[in-house]
Amino acid sequence: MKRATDKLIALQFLAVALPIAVVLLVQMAVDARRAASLEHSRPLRILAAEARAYYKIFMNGAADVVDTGTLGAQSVEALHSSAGELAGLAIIDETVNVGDAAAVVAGLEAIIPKGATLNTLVPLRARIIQGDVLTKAIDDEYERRDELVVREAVASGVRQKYAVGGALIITTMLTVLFVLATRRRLKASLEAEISAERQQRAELETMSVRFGVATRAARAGVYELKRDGLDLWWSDSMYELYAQSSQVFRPTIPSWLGLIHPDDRESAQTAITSAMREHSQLRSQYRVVRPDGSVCHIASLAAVVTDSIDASPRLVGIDLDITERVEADDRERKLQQQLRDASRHAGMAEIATNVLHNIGNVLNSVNISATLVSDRIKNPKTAGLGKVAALLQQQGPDLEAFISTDERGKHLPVYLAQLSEQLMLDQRATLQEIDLLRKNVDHIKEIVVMQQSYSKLVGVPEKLPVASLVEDALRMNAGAFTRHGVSVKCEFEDAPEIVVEKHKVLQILINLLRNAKYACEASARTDKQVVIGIANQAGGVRIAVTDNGVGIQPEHMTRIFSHGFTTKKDGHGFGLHSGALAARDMGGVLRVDSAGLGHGATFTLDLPLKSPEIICG
Amino acid sequence: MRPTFTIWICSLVILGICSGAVADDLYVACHADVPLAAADVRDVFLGEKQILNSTRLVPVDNLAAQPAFLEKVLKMDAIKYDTIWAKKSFRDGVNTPVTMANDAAVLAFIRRTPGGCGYFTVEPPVDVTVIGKY
Repeated sequence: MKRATDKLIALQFLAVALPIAVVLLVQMAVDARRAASLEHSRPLRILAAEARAYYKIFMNGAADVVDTGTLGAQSVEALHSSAGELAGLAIIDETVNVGDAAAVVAGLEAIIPKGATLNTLVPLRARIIQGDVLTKAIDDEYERRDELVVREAVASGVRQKYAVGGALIITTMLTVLFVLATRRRLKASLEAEISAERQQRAELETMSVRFGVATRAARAGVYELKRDGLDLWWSDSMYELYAQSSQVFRPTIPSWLGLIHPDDRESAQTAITSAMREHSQLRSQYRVVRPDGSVCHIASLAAVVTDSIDASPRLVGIDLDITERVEADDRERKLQQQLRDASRHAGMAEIATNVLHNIGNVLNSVNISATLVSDRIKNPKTAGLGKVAALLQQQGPDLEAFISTDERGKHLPVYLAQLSEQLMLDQRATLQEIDLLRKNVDHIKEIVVMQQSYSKLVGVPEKLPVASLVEDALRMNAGAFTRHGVSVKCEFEDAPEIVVEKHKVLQILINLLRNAKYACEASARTDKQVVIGIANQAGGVRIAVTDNGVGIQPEHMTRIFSHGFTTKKDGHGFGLHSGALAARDMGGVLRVDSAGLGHGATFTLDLPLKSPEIICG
Repeated sequence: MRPTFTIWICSLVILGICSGAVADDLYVACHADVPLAAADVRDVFLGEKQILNSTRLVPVDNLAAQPAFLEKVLKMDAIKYDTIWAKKSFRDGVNTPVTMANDAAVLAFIRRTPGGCGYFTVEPPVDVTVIGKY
């Protein structure tokens, strides 16, 4: 705008100055030319006029001769002067034919003496008249020329006048045009500026409205604190935030501090003082006690600003009403506590479920072993031994004869030998059951330990042959397979030892074998079979438990490892879930594959040679 | 030569023969285009009036009629007339009137000279303007 106006002013100045300058220059040139013409013309004109005048004096003198009789000296002198002027004129100016006149006058001068009489002059009348005509012609010519010069000068002056007038008119017109153009441009520019300013104002108003709406919606207020700390400006929403009237309350630091909860005043003031002193960001939180006694939690965020508006630093910030957030945080904290408690209870319940499930599995074996031992103890094979003892007591002294002669006595040693052998077999079987019982009890103990380790997130890895792990698991389920007529087939490759937590693997395998037994038991087929295989694979081993039982429906394949999912009447839906988790904990994976109902299923446990935590350790 | 002119010359000769009877008449005439008044004749022949209607007046003397003209029209003698014209010519640079020998010469001059004025002893023909009869 300023640049356009300067440009217009410069153009306007040019428009005014240029024509005047041109006219002045032209006028100066014309004046110079006119002066030169006059300077040249006027002396010639004077010479010619003088020559003519002198000649006329002579002629008058000649005419007076008619009365006086003789020509006076003055007339002769005038003739002489006229001849001299003409001679000079002829020398100065060659453009006019002065020569004839000069010659005639000079000739008359030569022949007319002072004191000449009429008789002398009359014969010369023709030449005198010729001289008169010639001098008059010369005088007229120079007069004409002078008049031309003067006329030209006058015309030039007139032209100059018109030129000046024209220049003034042009200048005036240009000035008017430029004034109009400038006015139009300025008007357009001003209108554009006003329009832009209006637009900016509208945008500012819109922004202000938005800002006000936003701050009110956000329950926020804006403030600005000058360096002196006394001049404090609040936005409208700030008054609303502090529940103060903008008409009554004058915001200053002391008045503001008066609104803050006594316990928070010092920290709030310190925060502001520190931010102003160190030009750092302000982040503080305090409580405000409103006039109605309610307490409002305020979060204040501010920064020190130094801009072109005011060179002194100002603290510009925003106060947010975070009462709801604080209350929500309190509620959330309580809920979190409740959730933690519920989770702990749930975890305890899950652990209990897990323990009960796994221990329940083992307790089945324990129960079987205990039943077998109990049966053997209840129905001892030694019942006939009492009869043998009574029979031998009845014989008394005849015991020898009885053994050697009596048919019953003869069979007695054989019976006792067989009885002894039977007792030894029973003892061995009982011991086996007791050993199995002990192992199961140990497994229960380990399950408990493992559950404890879950809570501690600590395991006890061991380096074990895979086959022994599988055999242990088979042994723990051997009775069940036998009772339910399920044949077990082992297909073991030579596998390297793996470093795992034994009872995690056992827990998985026992679950898989027990599920395989249940699948076979539920099947109507007679050739119930479970195949357990060990195979090497890159970086680990694969243990596969395959049964030809009832199989798994395709829609159950994706849910089979989910917690709580089971297809058994009395199942918990925990075994495969915990097995998959245990496999993952060891860096392995538990998978299932089934061609569908009636086609059996294969569960595959892939285990690395070393579980991840061991590798890291 | 045209017959009318021959007749007019013959008439002039006859008039000249008979001039003894009518010797007192004097006619002043000018070129046909010069509407000169009779009162201006003196000024014209004394060089006082030289221009009429942008036409330069050229008076001529008729040697045959000059004495009568000086006597009847200018009321002066020949010396006075010459003196006036001497002054006039010296003072104003005006040439003295040319002197023609007779009426015929004057008539011929007037006819061919615009502004020409002369005087005749006989009445001039109609192709010139007679200013006055004296």
